[in-house]
Amino acid sequence: MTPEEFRKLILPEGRRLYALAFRYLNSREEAEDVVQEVMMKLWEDRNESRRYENSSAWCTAVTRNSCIDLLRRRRRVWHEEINSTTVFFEPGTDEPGMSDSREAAELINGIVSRMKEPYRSAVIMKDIEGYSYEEAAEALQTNVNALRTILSRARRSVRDELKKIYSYGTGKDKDTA
Amino acid sequence: MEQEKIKTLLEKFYQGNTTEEEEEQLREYLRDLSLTGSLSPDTDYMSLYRGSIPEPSDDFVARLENITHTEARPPVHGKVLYFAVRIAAAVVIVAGLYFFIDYLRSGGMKDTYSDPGLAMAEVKNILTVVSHNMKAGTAPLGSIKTINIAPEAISPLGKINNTLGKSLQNLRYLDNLTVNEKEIRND
Repeated sequence: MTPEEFRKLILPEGRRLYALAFRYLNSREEAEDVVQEVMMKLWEDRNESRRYENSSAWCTAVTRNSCIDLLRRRRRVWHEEINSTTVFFEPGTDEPGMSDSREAAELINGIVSRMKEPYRSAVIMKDIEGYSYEEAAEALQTNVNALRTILSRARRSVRDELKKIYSYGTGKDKDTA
Repeated sequence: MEQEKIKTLLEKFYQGNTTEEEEEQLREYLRDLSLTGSLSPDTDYMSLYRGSIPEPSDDFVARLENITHTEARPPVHGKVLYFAVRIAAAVVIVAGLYFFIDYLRSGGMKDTYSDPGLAMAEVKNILTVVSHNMKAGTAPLGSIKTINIAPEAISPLGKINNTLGKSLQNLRYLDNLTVNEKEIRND
């Protein structure tokens, strides 16, 4: 693969991978570093054609693995970051009524980040980043039916956790509309 | 009616059975509800979909493009060597295990005696057997000793030779005497 082809086919994936990495890491700098590493690996292996048979899925899988490794190295749980340095939403973009949704988003991100693999990745890819079932299944090296099962458990888990948190102090769950 | 539909879709969603169109539909319903302030775990969860994140830094794209200016890794000779070493190591381990197991099966070295006296007797016995075997083994070598005897047998012949030599010299002396006697007689 020539540098020109690489720039045309692979580099545009950078923005998507950055978003995915950010969902895992909740840090702009670390997300950028992870994507840079992934691109470096792809560039170094550019003569191995099998890497490029489905480069998109390969990039996603490598980014996910790199993020999980980094999270393990950090040995920190997401909720600690949320309480201190979270930058999930850019400051100054609040609209009326945004405060509640921002808190909810941070809360859900905290819950998702504490999930085990592959539940965490399934939620991030499918329900947060909006990958198709096929794309997410491929990145998780599973099939669509298995992914649906994983998602079902993960979604219920988030919902139950949220209900517990919302009902804390009120003595009742927050009902569905 | 709409609430019934939302309920059904939510049920399917939590079972993981919704299609992508149904999920989009559900998100729209719940978005409308969230605008009226009817928040719930479901609407909060759905609101995360493609939520905003900070833009990457300005030099992010440039950093990625710079990657293409670095040299690619050389061909994978190292990998081939690595695999060759791994295979060689595996062969050595398998061969080592084979000989070790074979050694164990054949009895090998055993610590069989707890009584030192008995062990000593066994050692003596073994040494006797070894000694006997050595004698039996070296017996055919006895004929080689004749090679050492031969020079001794030849040495008397040398003495005879010397004696004969001296006798012959005496005879030559006598010859000279007889020649002198003839000359005297002729005179």
